[in-house]
Amino acid sequence: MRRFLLVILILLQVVIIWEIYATVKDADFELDFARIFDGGGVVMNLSNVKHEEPFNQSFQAAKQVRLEGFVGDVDIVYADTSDIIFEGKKFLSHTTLVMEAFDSTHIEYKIVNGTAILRWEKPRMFGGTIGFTGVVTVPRSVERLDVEVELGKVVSKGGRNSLSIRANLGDVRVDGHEGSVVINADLGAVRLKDVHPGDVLRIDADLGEIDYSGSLATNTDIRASLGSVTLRLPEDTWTNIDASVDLGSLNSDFPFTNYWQSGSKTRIDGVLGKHRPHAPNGKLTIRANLGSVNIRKVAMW
Amino acid sequence: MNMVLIVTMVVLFLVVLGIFTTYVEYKKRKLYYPSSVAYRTFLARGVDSVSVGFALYLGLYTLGRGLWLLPGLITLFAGNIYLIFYLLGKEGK
Repeated sequence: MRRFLLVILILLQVVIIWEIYATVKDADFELDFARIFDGGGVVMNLSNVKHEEPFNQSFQAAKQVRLEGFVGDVDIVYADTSDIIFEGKKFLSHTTLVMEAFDSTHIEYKIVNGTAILRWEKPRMFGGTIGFTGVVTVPRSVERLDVEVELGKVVSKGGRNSLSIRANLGDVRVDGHEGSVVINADLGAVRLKDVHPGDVLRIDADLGEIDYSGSLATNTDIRASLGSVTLRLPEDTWTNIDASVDLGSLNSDFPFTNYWQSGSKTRIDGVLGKHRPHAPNGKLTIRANLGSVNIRKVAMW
Repeated sequence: MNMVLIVTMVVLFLVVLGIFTTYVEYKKRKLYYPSSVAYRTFLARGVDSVSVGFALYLGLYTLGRGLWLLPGLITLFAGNIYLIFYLLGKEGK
């Protein structure tokens, strides 16, 4: 009897081990150490695409547009149109093909207080990933665009509005933008090129470097927890600066005042740029916990 | 590195650690009590853990399949080891 029980328990143990293996395998995500050390971070696996279909849809735009909960690489472009147009692919990344979950994923559209809200509605309690990868065309007339992408890269080119991007897992890239920019990136690098912000420029990156190239806003706030900050500013920059680095170096091509160092902490709390007769323009705030801050002078505008 | 590989390594490590600590505890108990009493402790622990693990597994399964099943499965796994250890010890006697 005991031997019989023993065999049963050993068989049960094998079943449990198999169940643990199957559960973890179904979860379908992986730690990509190569990307962690490259400044990328933990990424969910979008490579295991089981199924994909063309996805083309358009929605009536409003003065303000918000994209919520999107998954996948999103390219934002601007055009003379009145609709928000999605052109790309809808994909399912999972170990098994679950068409029911794939078919039920859609864009929920509503207009609230003059804001067009487009939400990527995914099935709850689904281990895999269903997303959209492609181009989102936004009307040039949109005054404010908020984008939230949970997983995937966000690229915006040629915007002339107030832009806010929140990326949980993935890089953010903004090219040739004119208008306020607010970017929050949890894991992933933030790269902005040829940006001319209006009143506000705020970049917050938890893990991942910040590379900014453009002019400064009236209020510029740049925060990086882990990763370097590189600012490429025009030669005529003349601004108040409050920059501090907890652990790392702080280098500038521009002259600056009030530099002090205490232990591992470095701080500049004064004025940045070549002295001019008028008062400095706006304020540049930089906070870096771990990583170097480099302020470069470039002549490209 | 694949998540499956990481979990496999962690589970293997915990199994080895579990067997080792159980054996050390058994030896310690045997100093003060007869073997049968020492073994009965593992029976009690095994039944406890298997019950809790099974209840957790069933409860969490109502949410569907996913990583949330792991607490139940791992508890079930640990309890089963206790029971196997108990039976093996009895067999050896």
